[in-house]
Amino acid sequence: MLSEAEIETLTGVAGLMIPASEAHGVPGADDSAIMSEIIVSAERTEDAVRNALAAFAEVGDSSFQQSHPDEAAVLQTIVASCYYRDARVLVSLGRKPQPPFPEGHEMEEGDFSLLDPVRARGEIWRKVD
Amino acid sequence: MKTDPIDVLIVGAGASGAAVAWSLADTKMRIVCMDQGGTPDPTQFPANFMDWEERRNGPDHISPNIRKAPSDYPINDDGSPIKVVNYNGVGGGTVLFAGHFPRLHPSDFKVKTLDGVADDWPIDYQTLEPFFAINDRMMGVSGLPGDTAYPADRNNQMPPVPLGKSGEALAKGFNKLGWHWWPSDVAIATQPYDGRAQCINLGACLWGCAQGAKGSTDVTYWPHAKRAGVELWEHCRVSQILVGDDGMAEGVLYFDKDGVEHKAEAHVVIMAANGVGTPRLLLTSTSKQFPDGLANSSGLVGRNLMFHPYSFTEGVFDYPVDGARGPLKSIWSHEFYETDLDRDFVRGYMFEAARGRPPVNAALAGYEWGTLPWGEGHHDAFRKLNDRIMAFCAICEDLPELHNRVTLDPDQTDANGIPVPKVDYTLSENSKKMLEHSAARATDILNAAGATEVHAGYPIVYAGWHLLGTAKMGLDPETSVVNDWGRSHDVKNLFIVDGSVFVTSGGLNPTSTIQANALYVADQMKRRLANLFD
Repeated sequence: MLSEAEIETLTGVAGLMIPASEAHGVPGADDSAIMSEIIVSAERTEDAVRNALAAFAEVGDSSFQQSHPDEAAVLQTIVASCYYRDARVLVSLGRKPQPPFPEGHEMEEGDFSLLDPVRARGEIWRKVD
Repeated sequence: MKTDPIDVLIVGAGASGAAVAWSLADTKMRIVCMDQGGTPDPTQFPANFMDWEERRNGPDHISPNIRKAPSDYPINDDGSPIKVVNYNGVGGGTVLFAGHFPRLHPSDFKVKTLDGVADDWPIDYQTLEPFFAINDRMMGVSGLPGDTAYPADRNNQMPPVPLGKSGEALAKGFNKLGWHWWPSDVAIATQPYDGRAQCINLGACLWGCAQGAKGSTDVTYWPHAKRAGVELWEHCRVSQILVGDDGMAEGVLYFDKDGVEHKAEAHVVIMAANGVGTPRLLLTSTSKQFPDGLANSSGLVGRNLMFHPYSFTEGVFDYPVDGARGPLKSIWSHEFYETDLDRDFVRGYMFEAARGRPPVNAALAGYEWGTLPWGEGHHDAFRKLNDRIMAFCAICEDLPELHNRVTLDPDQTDANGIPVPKVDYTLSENSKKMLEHSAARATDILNAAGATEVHAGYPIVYAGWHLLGTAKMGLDPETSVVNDWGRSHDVKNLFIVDGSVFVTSGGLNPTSTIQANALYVADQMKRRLANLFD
């Protein structure tokens, strides 16, 4: 379990990493609903998160991303994983707030006449006999 | 459970085990296939859940060392820059594969003759051609006939998967450069096929197909094989192949789900446990007749391990492409597949388009590339990545080298006390040059397709999908493990049908060829039933 102080630091990091945006109509990663998922996720890799938070505490600002890339990656993975599945965020990106299954996605078939020059070039496979 | 003697015992229910089981079923022999895992439950695949991207990094990871499911065994791959990825259960690697389904080229069977490297196979493309066709029907392959990179003998069961925006953009890039491309053959149903629903473009092929459109053998071969009478024993982990005083295999020892050890006797044993699992079990099967492991008089069991080193190149576009929507693969290119003496490496590679990234992974790419800042600029920067990344990989031919090998870890064991495999592997200079070349050409293609920025990397670390070469096929017992129809030179009722028998790797996904070879071996066994052990 992360301590209250660690959760407070983690919340601060999440908000610093992905702040709310009025222009895009999205919450920050420190939103309470998103944070509750971030905490669950963080506690699955508690030791690595604890180390990263300790390293962040020494820096205290977004320069942490450059100064401690490995530790930043631990926190970025957790925060992004929880932030970019939030329904409000997905809707703001023009996505339906749902998993891939069962609805799936529409795809454009594409233009298969683009193969004309490939066909015109003829066979390219290497004969063996 | 029946108590009749088992005629044929198959170890592993993946790509090759399923194919050989189905083919042998028409003999009406008693056939049992054991797998250490169970049949996957598609309702539990990540694509069913909002946190599907995160699950892929944890409990549904492609590496058994990270996933750590009860059916997994650890693999010590500390000594390899490429890590083994697999699925331990019914369907094997096909549960997690992309369904990409190229065949080896005719030239792949003759590399010594053509290019003076490695060895020729003792069989050729024509030998396998009828079995490629049978296998395509069983797996259900979508594609477009007429590919100029292959002999004109391929017929697909269904129309190709959509090019999508990404495939079309890449195709235009290839055309600008005058290079070959073609819609990929994929074992994914683009129409309802053999009880399978058609693909709905979930974009999560590598973590199990929740729709059931992808041709994993749990939904292709196995329903047919079981109806034909093959017994599938799930959650049975084989620990050793037993041999009698006559030097013939007499069955296996295995652990059931509760960890209780049993013996199963069989007249024939077929190994289908992949290029790491099979040598592992051959090496654990020591006896007074075979002190160095079973079928290992050549000393080659576990040696010549071939992965396919992958380069991975991504382009960012200034308009939306597919993101992760759609079957992972859309088009391939064999432009650089064959040896070109103007290059500084031999043999070659295939390109395969790989769509793009879903939101979480797009963000992680941005962080890795240094283009996604923390703070105020995050949202605008992210929107320049969202659905705008297109990925492209090259699968490089890996030539066999004796020092690349699978051995038994002297210290570590799995949950049943069986020694775990240890993988020692180094990238050859030839592979490094090929990777570098492929990343440079992929960059050319993405630039020609209109990318505004390109990011290339190699080798992909978690890309040890293809486990080949560790029980080589050949005519000479001193330089190979099995003969030209899959039978051990040393043990006349022991067969190997998985990728272990590959003499060379080719530069493409091997599943189609692995399965065609398994069907060929089964056919040879059926033709020789009266004198199978002569």
